[in-house]
Amino acid sequence: MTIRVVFGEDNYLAREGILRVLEDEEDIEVVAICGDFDSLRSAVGDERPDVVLTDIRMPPTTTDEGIRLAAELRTTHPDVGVVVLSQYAEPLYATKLLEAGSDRRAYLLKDRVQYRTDLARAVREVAAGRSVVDPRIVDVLLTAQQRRHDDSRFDALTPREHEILGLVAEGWSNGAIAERVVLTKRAVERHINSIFSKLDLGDSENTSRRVKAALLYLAGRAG
Amino acid sequence: MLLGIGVAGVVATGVTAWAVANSPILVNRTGDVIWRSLFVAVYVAVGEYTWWRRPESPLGPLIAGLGFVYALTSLNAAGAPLAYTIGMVAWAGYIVFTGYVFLCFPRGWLESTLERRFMLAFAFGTAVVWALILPLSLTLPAGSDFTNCGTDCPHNALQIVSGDASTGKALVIASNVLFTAAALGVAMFVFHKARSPGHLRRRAVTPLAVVVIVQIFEFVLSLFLPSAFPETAGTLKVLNGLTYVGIPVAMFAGQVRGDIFAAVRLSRIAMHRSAEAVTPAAVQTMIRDALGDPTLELSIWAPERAGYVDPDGAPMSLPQDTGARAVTEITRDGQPVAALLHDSSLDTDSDVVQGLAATSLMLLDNTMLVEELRRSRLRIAETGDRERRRLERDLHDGAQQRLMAIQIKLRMLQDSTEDQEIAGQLEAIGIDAEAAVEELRSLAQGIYPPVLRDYGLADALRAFAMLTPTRIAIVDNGIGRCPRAIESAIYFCSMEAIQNVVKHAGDEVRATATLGRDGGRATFAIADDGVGMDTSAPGDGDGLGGMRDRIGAVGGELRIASTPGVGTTVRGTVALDPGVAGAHGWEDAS
Repeated sequence: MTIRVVFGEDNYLAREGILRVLEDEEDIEVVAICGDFDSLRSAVGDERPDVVLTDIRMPPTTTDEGIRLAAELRTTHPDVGVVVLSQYAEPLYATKLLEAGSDRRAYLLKDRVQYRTDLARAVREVAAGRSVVDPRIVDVLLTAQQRRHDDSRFDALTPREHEILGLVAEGWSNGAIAERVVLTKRAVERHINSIFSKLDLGDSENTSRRVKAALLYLAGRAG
Repeated sequence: MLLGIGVAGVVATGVTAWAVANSPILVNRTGDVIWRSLFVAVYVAVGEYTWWRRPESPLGPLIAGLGFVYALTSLNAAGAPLAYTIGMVAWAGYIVFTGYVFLCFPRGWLESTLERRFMLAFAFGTAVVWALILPLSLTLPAGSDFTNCGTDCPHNALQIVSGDASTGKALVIASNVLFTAAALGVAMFVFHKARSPGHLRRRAVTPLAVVVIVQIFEFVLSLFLPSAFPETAGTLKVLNGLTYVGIPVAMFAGQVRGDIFAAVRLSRIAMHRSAEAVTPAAVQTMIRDALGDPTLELSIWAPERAGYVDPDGAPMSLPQDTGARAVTEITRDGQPVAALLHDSSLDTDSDVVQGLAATSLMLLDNTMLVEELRRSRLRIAETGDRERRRLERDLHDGAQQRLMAIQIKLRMLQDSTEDQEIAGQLEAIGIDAEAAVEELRSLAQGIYPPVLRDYGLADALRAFAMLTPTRIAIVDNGIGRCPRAIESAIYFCSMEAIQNVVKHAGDEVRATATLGRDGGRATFAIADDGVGMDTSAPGDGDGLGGMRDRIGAVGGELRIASTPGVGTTVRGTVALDPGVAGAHGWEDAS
C-alpha cells in the first residue's frame, strides 16, 4: 500500500533535497508540493493524503505554520498524519506539536533528512498512527534533566532506564527498543512499566500516548 | 535715576511739610503737616519700589508721579491767591491722575476700551468744569479734609468775569458731583478687577479694593456724621488720612502678594520636575495653574514642521491677537520655542509671566531632551532587535538550509560509491557538516530565539528553562504579546538573571520567573532563594548594568534586591505604549 504525501516546503534547496531522499522510497508517493501555508492547506483538502510532510515555517508569516497546520488538521482531518520538519532543535516546538495529542505526529530536525531511513520511517510511523520525536530533542531534554537533580524519582532510575525512557520519548516501539538496547522485548516491557510507574506517567501501553507523556515529563511540563 | 527721584521725593516731602506748617490759612496745620508730607513720602517710596521691581512697567513712574503732583498741591497752603489757585488746580489734576493710576493698576496702562473712554470722559469733564470755574467763580472747591482753609480761603486769582455769585457756587457743586461720580466709577473698575479670574491679578488688586471700600465708607460717613455729631470729625479725619496713605501701601502690598504668589507657583513648577514625567500636556497644566487661566493653551514650536503643534502633537497655527485672546510667543536666541495662548486680561508683561515662560521653556527643553534620548535609545534597541531577527532568519533559512542540502548530497554520494576510502572521507565531511549545523543553530538561537518571535515571552522563558541545570518555574499571569523590542529586552534581561541564578545561587536554589501586566505596563520578576549577592559591588561582572541598559533602552525600569542568605529578586516594568514600537510581536518589517 502506498503512502500518499502532500509536501510543503518553500525553500528550493531543501525541497529538492528532500524530494530526492523520498523518490527512492517505493511505498511513499509525493502527490502535491506546496510553497506556502494556504496552498498546503487546500492541497490537504483536495488530495486527501495519508501524511502531510511540512516545513515548520512557511510563508506568509514564516513562523510556526507547520505546528498550526498540525493543530488545525487534528480537527479537520484527524486521520491525516503530520511530519513537521524543523530547523530548530528546540523542545518547546515539539511539545507544542504534541500538546493536542501525539498520535500521527512527528517532529523531525531537517538535518535528520540526510539519514533517508529516518525520514521514511517518520512518514510510515505517522501513517500508522504513531509518533516520532527527533532523538536530538529528546537528548537535550534528557541531558538537562540528568544535570538538574530536582526529581529524586528520576535520579533513582538506572542509566539503562534513562536510555529506555529516551527511546520511548522518541517514539520507538517495544520491539525496536529491545533491538537497540539488546534486551528481550519482555525485559523492555518490564523496564518501561517500572519507569512509568516510578515517574507516575500513566499508561505505557499506547506507544503514541506514552511519547507525549515521556516528552512532557522531560520538558518539565508534567509529572 | 532712582536715586535722583528719591532725593526729589525727600525734597518734595520737606517742601510740603514746610509749606503746610507755615500756612497762614489752613485750619489744622499740625495734623495736615503730618498727613500731607506722609502722603508725598509714601507715594514716592512705593513708586520707587515699583519702578525698581518692574522697570518695564510705567506703573512705578505713575505712582511716584502721584506723590509729586500731590506735593504741588501744597501751594494751596500759601495765603497768596495765585499760589492758592495753582495749588487747587494741581489738586484737581491730582484727583484725575489718581483715578488713572487706580485703573492702570497693576499693569501700568489702561486695558479696555471702556476704561479708556471713562478716563477720557473724566478728564474732559474736569477740564470743562474747571475751565468754567477759573474765569467765572470767586471761590474754588474746598478740596479734601487736608486742604481745609475754612473761612480764610483765598479767592480765585484767575477770576476775570465777576458774575453772579450763584454761578460760581453751582460750578463748585458740579465739580464736587463730578469727582464723587468719578470716584464711584473708579471704585467699580477696581472691584471688577479684584474679581478677575486671574489669581495673580486678584491678589494684586484686592488690597486696593479693600482700601477703596473703606474710603467710600468714610466718605459717606463724613457727609452726615460731623453735622450731627461734631466730635466725630477728628476721628473721621484720621480715618481719611489712613485711607489716603493706604492707597500706595495697598499698591505695594498687592505687588508683594503677587510676587509671593508667583514665587510659590514658580517653585512649585520647578519642584514638579522631579515628581513626575513632564509631558507637553503637563507643562500646559502647570502654566494654567500658575497663571490661574484655565483656558490657557500651550503651543510648542516643532522645527521639523516649521510650525506650532499643540501638546498632543497636532499641527496648529497661532490665532491673531484679538481683544479676548492674546498670544505670547517665547523665543530664545531669536528662534521661536513655544507660544502661550491666553486670556488677554492675563498679566503678560510682568516678571511673573516672563519667569514662567523661562521656567516652562526649561521644562520643555528638558522634556524634549529626555524624550529625544528615550526615542533614540528605543530606536537603537529596535534597530538592534530587527538586526538580530534578520540575522537569525538568514542563518536558519539561508545557511542552515544550504548545509542541509549539502548533507543530503553527501549521504547520497556516500551511498552510491563503492570506494570504501572515499566513503570514509565523505562520512568525515558529513560529521563536520553536522557540527557546523549544530554551531549555526546555537548561534542563531543565541542571537534571537525563534520561540520568542513565535510564542512570546512566557513560552520563550519556558523553553529556556527546560534546558537550565536549575529548575526555574515560569508563572505567567497574562503578559501576552508585547512590542518586539520590549519582548527582546525582557527576554534577554530575564535570561541574564536566570543565568546568574544558575551560576551563583547555589545547588539547592529554587527560582521563579513571574510575568504579568500591571495597567499599561509589562512586569517581570526573577526571584530565587539562593545565597544572595552584593548588588552594589563595582565591576558589574554579572551584567547587572547590561540588564539595566537593556530595560532602560525600551523605557523600562529594573530593580535588583538581594539579601545574603535570603535570595535575590530582579524586578522590572516596561510601559507598553502602543505608539512607541511595533504593536505586533510577529510581523516582520525587514
